[in-house]
Amino acid sequence: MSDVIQLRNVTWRAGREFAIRDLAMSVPSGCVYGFLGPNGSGKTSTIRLMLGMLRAEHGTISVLGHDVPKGVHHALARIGYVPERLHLYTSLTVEETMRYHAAFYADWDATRAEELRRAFALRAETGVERLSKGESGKLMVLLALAHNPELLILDEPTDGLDPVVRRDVLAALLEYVNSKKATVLISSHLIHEQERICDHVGVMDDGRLVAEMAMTTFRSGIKRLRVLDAPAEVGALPFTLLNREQSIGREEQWVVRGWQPEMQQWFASGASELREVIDLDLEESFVELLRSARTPDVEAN
Amino acid sequence: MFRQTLFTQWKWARLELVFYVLTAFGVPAILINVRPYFGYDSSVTGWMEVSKLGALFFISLAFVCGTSLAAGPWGKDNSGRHIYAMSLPVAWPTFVRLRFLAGATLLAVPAVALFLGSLVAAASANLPATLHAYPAGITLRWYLSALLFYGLAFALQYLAGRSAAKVAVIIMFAVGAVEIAAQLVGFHSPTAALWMLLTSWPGPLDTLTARWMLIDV
Amino acid sequence: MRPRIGRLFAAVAVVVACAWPLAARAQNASAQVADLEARLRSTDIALREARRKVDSVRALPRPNLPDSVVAGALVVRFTTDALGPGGAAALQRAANLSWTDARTVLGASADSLVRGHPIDVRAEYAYANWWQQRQVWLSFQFADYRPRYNSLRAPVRETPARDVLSDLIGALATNGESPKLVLWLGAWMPARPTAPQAWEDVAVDLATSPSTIARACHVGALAQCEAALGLTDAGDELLSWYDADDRRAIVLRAPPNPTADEQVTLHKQCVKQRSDASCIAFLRTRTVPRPLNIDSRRTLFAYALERGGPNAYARLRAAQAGTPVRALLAAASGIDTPTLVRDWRAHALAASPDLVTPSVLQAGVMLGWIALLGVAATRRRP
Repeated sequence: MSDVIQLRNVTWRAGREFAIRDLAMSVPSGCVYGFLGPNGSGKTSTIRLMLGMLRAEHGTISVLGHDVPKGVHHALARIGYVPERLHLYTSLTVEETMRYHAAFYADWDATRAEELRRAFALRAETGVERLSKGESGKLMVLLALAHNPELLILDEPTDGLDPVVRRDVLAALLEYVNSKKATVLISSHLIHEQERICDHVGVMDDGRLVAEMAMTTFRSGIKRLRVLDAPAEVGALPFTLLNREQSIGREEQWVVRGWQPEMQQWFASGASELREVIDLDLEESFVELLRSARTPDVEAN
Repeated sequence: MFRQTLFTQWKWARLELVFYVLTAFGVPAILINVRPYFGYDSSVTGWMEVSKLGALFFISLAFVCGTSLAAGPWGKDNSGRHIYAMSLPVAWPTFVRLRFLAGATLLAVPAVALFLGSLVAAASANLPATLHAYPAGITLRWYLSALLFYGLAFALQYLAGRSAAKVAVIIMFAVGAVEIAAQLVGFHSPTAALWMLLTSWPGPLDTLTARWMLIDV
Repeated sequence: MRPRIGRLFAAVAVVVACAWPLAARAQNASAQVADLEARLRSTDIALREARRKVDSVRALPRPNLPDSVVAGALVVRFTTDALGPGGAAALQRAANLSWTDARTVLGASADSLVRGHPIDVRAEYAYANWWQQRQVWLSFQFADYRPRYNSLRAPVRETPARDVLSDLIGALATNGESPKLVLWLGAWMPARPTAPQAWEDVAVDLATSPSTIARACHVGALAQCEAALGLTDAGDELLSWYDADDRRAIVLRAPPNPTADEQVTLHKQCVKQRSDASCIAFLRTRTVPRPLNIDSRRTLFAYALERGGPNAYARLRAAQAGTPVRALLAAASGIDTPTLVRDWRAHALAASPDLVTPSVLQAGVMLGWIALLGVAATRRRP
């Protein structure tokens, strides 16, 4: 499976406050890639780097085989993009916006666009400035889907939408992805939403990609272990110890990544005893991953 | 693409354009026909005075029309967190060219109105034998000059981006500073020299020193 | 009864109180006029005295000027430091050009005219605001012929220096000319060929003159051209140069002296009631403007010299004192005056382009600038 998006050693700075440093990231073809991270972690900036809206200081970016920013307009013809906030010309109506947008896409499917407009209950003559937040979101999704893109880049597409609209939008997206086998990069800080639809996940924090893996690995690979009589110095471990903290009495709780059931042997061979292996849900995994990323000395163990 | 770009710019500028069209059509006729009420007689001198007054109007209208039509799309493009066009599959130079050409096309609308208005005004004027009306000439000069002002404002904005206002202020301060420094060391005014360079042939603002007369010799 | 008298007194008191300042102001106004006239007189006396002093100072022996540039018979003396950086070289170029110009217009006579009359360039005075560095002003003047005096700011530049030198040579050439010719010219003789721009100005002057006869000349009445140029005896100029509409148009643009009631009345009668007699009476109080301006007449003069060839100026000088201007022009040009004037008009009208419509070249250059700006705008991607 080739990568539709590839970032290598990408560095970009926003003043003195924030920087994306040595970012390397790969989005495999045909996957739904959940781009996770807390607010301000650099997800939107990374997406804007991918789309050539920002210029990287160092590194290379390739999207759908085109170098960014040099050949980004060729890539954009095959990308459906839903930005975080409304970027359309507010003085146009819905219909005029669709016509304007369509003019730039050779593969624009006017019938499909009309179907989506009806499905989203968007009135053609309504001005964009009069659309509610949900309607604006729907219009942007419509514009992103109507030219049959191979790659969808969705930046917080459901952020701030009410549950009904969110469901409509996600349903339209999933239907499209299923029917066209398109690749999707979906950025969000809503973990549970991503859990349902993503098969790959990348986690950003403070301008760094702290983890990138298959969703199954992410979901099953991070565990909480109840360990008795754990030594102060643990030495070489077969898994990654993300975090350890004192529990009751002689017991400690370890958060580990890359756990496999056969790794129980490591405890059997030492003085410490593994009492229980606890599955974490995605949100807990996410929180533990971020916590470990922010205290690098623990992970170094 | 061009048609849609033209349509959006038309939609943004249509109220301004209506105003410019009415002004461009109406003012020449008004100038010619209500001239006696403002003390301008039918002598050659009177006609030349009215024509000079008209010149001020033509040049001002060209400046206002050009700069405002350039400012409109730039403002719309920069109203969001990012420029909408940058998410469209079009190379940036192509997009800017489309914008530029659409604006230039829209400027033709008041130019046509000016031509018709000048024709009407010229037809209603009983001119002395030595004077002539130049409706086509003044329209061509007006359109080219409006395009030039449009181009200047457009280039400044799209080159300077969101800091266009800052750049304009910096340029003004820089010119002021150079002027003061030159005065202090006793050099000839560099601002005046620069202005001469710009407004004399073949400078870009040479048109400012031309005769903008609907009625002329 | 008493209250009525009281009210009457009160009313009279109010009227007097109101009228008093007006009367006082009227008295003040005439006093102010008298005061202003007295001040004007004293200022005039002071000005004359100042001029006399300046002339006496200029007449004093002046320091020698060590440096000079020479172009043909033209010698310009100066102090290199005073001309500013690059000034000497610019002055040399200007002298070469103005000498070539003088030779073109005056022919071989230029040598005898200018030889032995060096032009001195002196640092006259420096002017500076408190925040400015000193600026040096240079006077250009013939060492032995003082009426013409030109100033330039240092450092000397070629084009303005060329203009100044040509003006001075023209002034020298005018010296000793027929007073009639000098009066008719109204300015110094031109010592350089007429520029194309000047011909355009003549065409504009002919077309926009307030005089009907000048405009008639423009549209082809050749007989009127000489009259418009002041080459024929006009008799009563106000009546022969202008018709009733012309006179009214002139009066309309000549505001009366507000303190001269008669002028105000005449002005009003002329403008409002279209009384030509009033227009004439009003204009009698003023100098009658000539139908064509000084530059148009100078152009005719320069054209006469041009048509006359290298000896035109010599023939002009050889003419007897008291010769009428039209005869002088005929002598200089070597052709009769009507032909000269006809050709002059044709020359002017040929040089009268449509000044409003941009030429193909102008339009092309403008389009070039516009395209350049459009391309420049695409160069920076946000």
